[in-house]
Amino acid sequence: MTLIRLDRETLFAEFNLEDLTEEEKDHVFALLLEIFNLRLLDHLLERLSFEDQQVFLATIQKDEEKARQFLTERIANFDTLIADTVAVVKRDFAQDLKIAKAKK
Amino acid sequence: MEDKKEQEQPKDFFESLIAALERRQKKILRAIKRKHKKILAWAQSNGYDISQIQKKVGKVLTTSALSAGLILGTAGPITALSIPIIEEQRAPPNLEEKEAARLELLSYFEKYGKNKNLNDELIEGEVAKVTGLPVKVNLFGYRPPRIYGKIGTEQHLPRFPGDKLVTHLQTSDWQYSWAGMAPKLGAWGYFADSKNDMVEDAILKEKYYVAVQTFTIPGWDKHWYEWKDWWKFRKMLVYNPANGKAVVVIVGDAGPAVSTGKTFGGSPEVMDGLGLERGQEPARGVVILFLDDPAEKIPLGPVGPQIPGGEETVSA
Repeated sequence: MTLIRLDRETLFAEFNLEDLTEEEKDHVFALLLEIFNLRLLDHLLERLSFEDQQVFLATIQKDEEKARQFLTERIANFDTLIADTVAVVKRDFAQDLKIAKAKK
Repeated sequence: MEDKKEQEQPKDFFESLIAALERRQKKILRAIKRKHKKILAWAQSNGYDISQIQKKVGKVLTTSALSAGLILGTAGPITALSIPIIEEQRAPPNLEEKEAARLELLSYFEKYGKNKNLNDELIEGEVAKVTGLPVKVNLFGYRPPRIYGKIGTEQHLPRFPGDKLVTHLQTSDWQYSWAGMAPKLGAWGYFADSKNDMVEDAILKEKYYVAVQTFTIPGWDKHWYEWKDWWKFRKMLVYNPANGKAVVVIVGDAGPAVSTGKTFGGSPEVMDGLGLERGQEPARGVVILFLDDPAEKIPLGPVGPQIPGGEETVSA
């Protein structure tokens, strides 16, 4: 079993960004989380029919636990999808780092 | 002096990183708004705020990770996530079964390849058997205009403003220089905004691109604006039944013109990956199917391993 981590402590170590100040790390990490949430939303909507999308969005407004249950019922390999999304975000981050270094 | 310069670098780097991340964020948001226009319009009409939904999705899924008893970081639910990837339990590919599937499909196309209506289920199943990949004829209500037909070699495409054959070949193999550079952009525009943005992903997309006749899809003239974003750089698999070779590609252009008699176009790298020599076109056709890969886990490029016996039946 492989663990994919997206947490503040290990992320900056993994990408050799420990020299950033705490404030800079906060800024970068906040953006990464927003990107992660957007990617997840995209991946989830892609895998749901229009009717299921409606049910999911309506449910998540009222009962987050019910919404989570609904997703696990409707989407096969749900945990793998989350892990894959983390992997995509990290891959994108590696590319954005390359771009940032090139423009430095 | 040098020390001072080194001290100044992190600030510039940080600003560039933030700019790159903000661009990424906006790009994904734009894509979501285009791809999921219908449900977002519905959400808006019901008073649901997309930014709130996005945050709730993250929270719900982090809760999912927590409830599964997984290891989390120290910064709280939304700021930490650690999920296990369960390794695939699939048995190693059986080469005999793969070869049988390849021959069955080859025989099917010899009999029915010219028919308009093909057996989607059979084609999907046999290609999946040979390649082990999640191929689909239909994906989220979309289907390729044709799934079987002849493929011809396309030229390299300009990847960013100012890209020329010389700059192109700095990140490409010189053995493919003979194909030259297309005088115009591909149907979806550039692969990157600038030369600095030419990261590996953009390089690979141009390297392994195909042209599909999207303009022949019924209703395209009416709905192209709505559909084009779904098709742009859509991941697909091209499979050559004559030898069992396959390449994971993206749709990088619209074409070729119907008058050419060809159904698909492939970059020189794609043609090579399909076992088609320079300028050679297959006497039979190739298959193009969607790849169901929402998390972008399947890398672009030739698929291996190949079937040992396949080479003997390549049609010239």
